[in-house]
Amino acid sequence: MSDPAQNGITQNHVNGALDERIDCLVDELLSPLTPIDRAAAARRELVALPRGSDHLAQHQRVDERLRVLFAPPAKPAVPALSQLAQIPLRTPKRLHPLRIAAMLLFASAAAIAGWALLSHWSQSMRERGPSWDQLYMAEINSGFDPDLKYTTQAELTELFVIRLGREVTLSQRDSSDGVELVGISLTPPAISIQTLTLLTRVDEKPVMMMADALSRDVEPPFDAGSGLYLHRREAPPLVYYEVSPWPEPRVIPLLSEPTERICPPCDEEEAPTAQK
Amino acid sequence: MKTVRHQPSATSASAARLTRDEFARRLEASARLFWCIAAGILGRRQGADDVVQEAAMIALSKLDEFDPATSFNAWVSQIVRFTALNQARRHDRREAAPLQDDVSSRPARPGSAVTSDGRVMSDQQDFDDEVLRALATLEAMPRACLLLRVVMELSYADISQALSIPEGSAMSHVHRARRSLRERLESSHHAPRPHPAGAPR
Repeated sequence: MSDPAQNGITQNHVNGALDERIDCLVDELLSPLTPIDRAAAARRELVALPRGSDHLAQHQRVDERLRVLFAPPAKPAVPALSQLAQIPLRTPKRLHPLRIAAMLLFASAAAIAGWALLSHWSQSMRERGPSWDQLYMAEINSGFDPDLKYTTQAELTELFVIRLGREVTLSQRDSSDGVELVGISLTPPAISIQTLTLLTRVDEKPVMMMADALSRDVEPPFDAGSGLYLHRREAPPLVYYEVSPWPEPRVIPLLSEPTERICPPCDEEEAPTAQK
Repeated sequence: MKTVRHQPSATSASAARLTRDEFARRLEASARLFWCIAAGILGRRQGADDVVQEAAMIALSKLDEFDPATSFNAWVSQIVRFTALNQARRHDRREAAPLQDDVSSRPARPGSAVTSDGRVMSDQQDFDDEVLRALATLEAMPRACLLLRVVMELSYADISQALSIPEGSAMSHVHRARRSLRERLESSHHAPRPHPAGAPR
């Protein structure tokens, strides 16, 4: 027993092909360009097809009305020659070489001026931000109170992973190193939004350590006359800074080298340009 | 073995240029074709004259851009097409239901009956209205192809050249336009009575 659905599809296909054939025959038959013998053949085939005569009759009527409704005027109104003579001819514009040179010069000058403005603007924007010694002082003035208090080594490591995608740990410490981990400051970011700022006390004096991706490293704005020291160490793909009253870095040496990538945030750091 | 070397045409664009007289002559010779394209794009007679005139002015002002080695009709047709499309857009913006206005404003033909609500009724006029309405639902290009085929009795090759489209596209535009018209007219109960010999639908 045949499938009714399959039969329906087949029937539609047949009807579609039949309609197509009827349309072709109608078109051929109604065209005055068709030779008489071909038109006669088309008519014979058409009337033999189901619905062929109906379609032919309808199209004949439609065509007849279209010829009436859209018959062009015997002489459509076109502009008279005298009218056309008044229209100025537009000559294609050819630029003079000197004008081209002037335009190129102008474009170059505009590009240079734009670049200069942009670099000046970015420089001033950078200068407008607080220097790192100011950030340090701001932390002191606000009580050196961290946003996240240091609890465990594991938690700090997890924070490194979350922020920078690298596992960084503090080396085995004893009380003799004089370093007390206070916590993490979330504001303001020194290098980028991902900067991890660790507040510590070294021999009772506040020391601020910042870590970020080396690829995002910047020229640190720092006032050398502030009485503070800025220490830096690259540990690809990370970079560490330490703002401290001590002439030697005390916190950075405690940090282990960042180990394998754990999560995606460090993808960009692995680009070759990350090397400084 | 004989080698045929291509010689550059003496009538290259830079060498020859169409004069105003020649332009006017060619324009007049093909004015009916341009009018029909304009009417086809617009979907109505009204405005087709204006389109042809505007297109002629534009074409003349750009005469230097025309390469006499190419088809004049194709070049002007293209300008007519764009001009008509612009005018159709302007017209659509101005009038919410232009076709209804056009149809209803047409004077009644002799023999027309008038209903109690004053509407003009006649089989022929109703059928014309339906044809115009169905035609208005077509896209501009299929409509123009259909009119060029039916009214101007052009071959598909000529339609293809006039509208700068492939011949196959011209053919399928005409076929689709015909079918669409037929279906719309059938749904409006203006189809002719089914042929006794015809198979049931």
